[in-house]
Amino acid sequence: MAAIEVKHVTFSYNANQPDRTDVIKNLSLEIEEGSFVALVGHNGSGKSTLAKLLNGLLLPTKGEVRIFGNPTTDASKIYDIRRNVGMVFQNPDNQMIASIVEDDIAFGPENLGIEREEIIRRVDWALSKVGMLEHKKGTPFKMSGGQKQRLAIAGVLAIMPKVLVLDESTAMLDPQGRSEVLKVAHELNKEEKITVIHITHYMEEALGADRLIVMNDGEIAFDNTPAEVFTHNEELKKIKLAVPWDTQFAIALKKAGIDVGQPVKEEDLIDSLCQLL
Amino acid sequence: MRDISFGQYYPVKSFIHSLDARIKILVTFLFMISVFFIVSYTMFVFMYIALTIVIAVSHVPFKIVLKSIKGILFLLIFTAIINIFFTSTGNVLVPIHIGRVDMSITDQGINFAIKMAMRFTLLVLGSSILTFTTTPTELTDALEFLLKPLTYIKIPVHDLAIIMSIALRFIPGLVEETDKIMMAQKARGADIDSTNIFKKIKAMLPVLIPLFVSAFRRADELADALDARCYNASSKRTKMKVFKLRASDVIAFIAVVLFIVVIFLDKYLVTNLLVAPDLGGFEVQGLDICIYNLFRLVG
Amino acid sequence: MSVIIKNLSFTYSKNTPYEKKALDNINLEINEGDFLGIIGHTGSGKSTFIQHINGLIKPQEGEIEIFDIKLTSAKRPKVDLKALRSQVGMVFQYPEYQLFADTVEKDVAFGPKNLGLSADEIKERVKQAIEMVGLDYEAVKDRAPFELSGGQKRRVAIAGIIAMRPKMLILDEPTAGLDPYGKEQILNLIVHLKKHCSPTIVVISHDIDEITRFASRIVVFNDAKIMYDEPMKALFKHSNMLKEMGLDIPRAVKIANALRYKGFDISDDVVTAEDLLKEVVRLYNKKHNTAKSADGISFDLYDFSLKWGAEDILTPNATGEAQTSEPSHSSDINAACQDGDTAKKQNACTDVKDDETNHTEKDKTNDSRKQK
Repeated sequence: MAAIEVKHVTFSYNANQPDRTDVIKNLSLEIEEGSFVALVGHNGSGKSTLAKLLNGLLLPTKGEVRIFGNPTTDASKIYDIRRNVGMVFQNPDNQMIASIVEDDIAFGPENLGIEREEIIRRVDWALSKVGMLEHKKGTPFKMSGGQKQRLAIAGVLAIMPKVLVLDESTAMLDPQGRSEVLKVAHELNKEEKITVIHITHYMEEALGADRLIVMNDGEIAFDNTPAEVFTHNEELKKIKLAVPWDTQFAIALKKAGIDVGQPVKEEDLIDSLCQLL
Repeated sequence: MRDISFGQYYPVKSFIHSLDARIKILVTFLFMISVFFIVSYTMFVFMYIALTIVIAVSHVPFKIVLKSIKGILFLLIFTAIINIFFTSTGNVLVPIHIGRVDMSITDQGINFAIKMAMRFTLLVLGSSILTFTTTPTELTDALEFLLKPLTYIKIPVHDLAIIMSIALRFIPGLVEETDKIMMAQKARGADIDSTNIFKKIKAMLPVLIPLFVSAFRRADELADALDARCYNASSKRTKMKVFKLRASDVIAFIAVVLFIVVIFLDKYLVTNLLVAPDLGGFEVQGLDICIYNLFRLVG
Repeated sequence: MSVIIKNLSFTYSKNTPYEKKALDNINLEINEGDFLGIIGHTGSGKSTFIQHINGLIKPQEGEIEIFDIKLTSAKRPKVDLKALRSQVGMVFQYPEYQLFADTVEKDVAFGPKNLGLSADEIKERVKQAIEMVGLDYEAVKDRAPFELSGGQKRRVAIAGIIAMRPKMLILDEPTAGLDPYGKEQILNLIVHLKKHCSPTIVVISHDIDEITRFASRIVVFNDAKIMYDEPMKALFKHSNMLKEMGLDIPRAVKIANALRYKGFDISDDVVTAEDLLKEVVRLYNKKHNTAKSADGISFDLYDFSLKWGAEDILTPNATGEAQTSEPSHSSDINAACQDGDTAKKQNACTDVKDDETNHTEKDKTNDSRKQK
């Protein structure tokens, strides 16, 4: 069964005004349970709006979004939807509500009225999943962006979602923080079978994904495996996106008349260079 | 990166730090009331000795605790002046008459002034020990617990506690942000350090506007984050942390209650049992009477 | 010599349990014309350091000399901080968060106004600064800053600093939080500013691939101390130490190191993608006995056709050809930016499109400045 179904969705922030501008334009999409999907687009391409449509923070102007069969417009099911689709946002500083790590992680399950022993178990589990168990009693104040963002993921994990949406959660992090968050997301996908939708503007972060959806101007521009999408270098450039560095390097080499194929990862590039030189 | 400490919390480990915040709040509250029932210098001395021991046990340096008195120095001096010049009972030491107003300094006036100053100092020292040894988060949680009965008269104690908790969580960030914006505007030549008050107010606008914009942006994002974590999903909200009293909490509580009992005994029992000497308006109360008699016997 | 720093130390929250040493006996000279990159992990002291150069933090120990203005821990003589700040421009992280006025024009004018300039002069500078960052003055001047896109807001914020006409520009994480396209625009802008506005530039960045694109010299901060201060090409001899400090090394260096480890004869000088490209082509030619060339192949993520003065100036080249055209900015702007001569500035603004031909004049102005 598809975890998420987006059917002919149109969305605009000023739906009832004459100068209505659609941020999402008649977009349809299905996301399989257990998959790791990267959603890439430049700023203003509509990718964050799409994310907020997936857990009912925004409701479609036209069309329908279904989460495990439940339409997001059904107000009685909204908390079922939100506990199924956990969402982590961009700014690591604006998502924690408590000053002590464990109190913050417990916030979600407390809201759901879960029993105390179960909350304690979940807090430990969620923190160990993101590798932050030793900071349980700490405060987020002195932590790096990557650590804070992992805590934000743990806070969402504690409500035991089936789908995890990372809404540009790496955008404000340094390279190290980005790779920490990405690593956690991949582990959750593999070990806990959580469906991950990773929204980003870095093409490179799509490398390990099963599927790469490229958005432009409220529509889907590409939807395929990352390797396939990366072959469209010129088209991607036009929609303000850049293929990974290693692919880029191979393209430059090709201009000099040397063909190393289409490496997407550093190891691929090194291997093909070794064979060639 | 700048370190920002807010509130007064002094981060060391000690017996006092480890006590249950509810007990600490309760005990401080009782202590503050009882301070007004201290009448004898003997009890004041006992109280200061006890407080000195508590401060020593809390591992907060005396220098830092004493700094908190600085804030009420003006109040101390003001009440002392009132007491000294406007107490008419007791034996006149220095007669002062301004017009028809009698402002003579009496021994009883000085007596009142000293006792009042000692009370204020005790109040401030006692409450600062609470804030030095308890994190703002612990204080919030404990207050939420202690104020729970108010839910019966429809006061949303839990929501208030969440608001306070979020405020505490975001204050350091906003302070840091203010600092950054201030630096940025200073770098653009803004006169923030100007001593001219009008210039200063004008110069604060380029700081305040971005700060407000930023606070609203944060609030917006936080609202999304709260929603995403199912805030208000269930009417039966649970709590992970339950307060559990330990033996040390109970001992601390009993110790303080005993102290308070002694204070009351001193004021009501000792003063009434013993016959206070008649010193022409200068009052000797409580255990001070014993000491006075003792000196008279010896002398 | 623009900046001389001697034995500078700084500790936050001294004598409290929160005490933290941020700078420990720093010695550094920044020369006129330097394109200096500063790297270091969070909390290594680099932010505290640059705040000192702008007089935002008073030195606790040691002294700083910036364009003949001396900063020490002493209370007297009083330093003219405004004069200092007009010479050293500082662009903070996320500078768009500091915009406050209701129009772009007013916001950019804030700095020049604080310098006490005449209304005409302010207007002149604002117009020039907005154009310098690649926005259309007429189109944006009356718009509210919050209506603009993220990248445009950042450029407005940078214009606010440029309008003070600093001799030296410091940028703290200038590309943080932008998408790759926005990043590229800002990087191009920085290179442009170096050429045409501020001859000395200091950039703090986490992204080493970004810094190696333009820096001529790199200073590495680690635990409140300067660990390395090297010409850009020489820094990555210390790749292993940098990794130990938790710092990234450029991708081209990683690949060059891997190839060298496998026995290939790769030059030590490889830092940028272009360097690696040349080396790979050289080795390829050697082995296959060919004469391929990497000349003229640039490694730009986007092909910008720089049209300064247009609303969205840095639009990708529709044809997708690999070419980076020079910004067609008048070199007069350089003169105007540095010089107090009003006539010249008038010139700069009317003749923006006039290009290339003015090189001699630019040289002359440069010379005259040196003589001063």
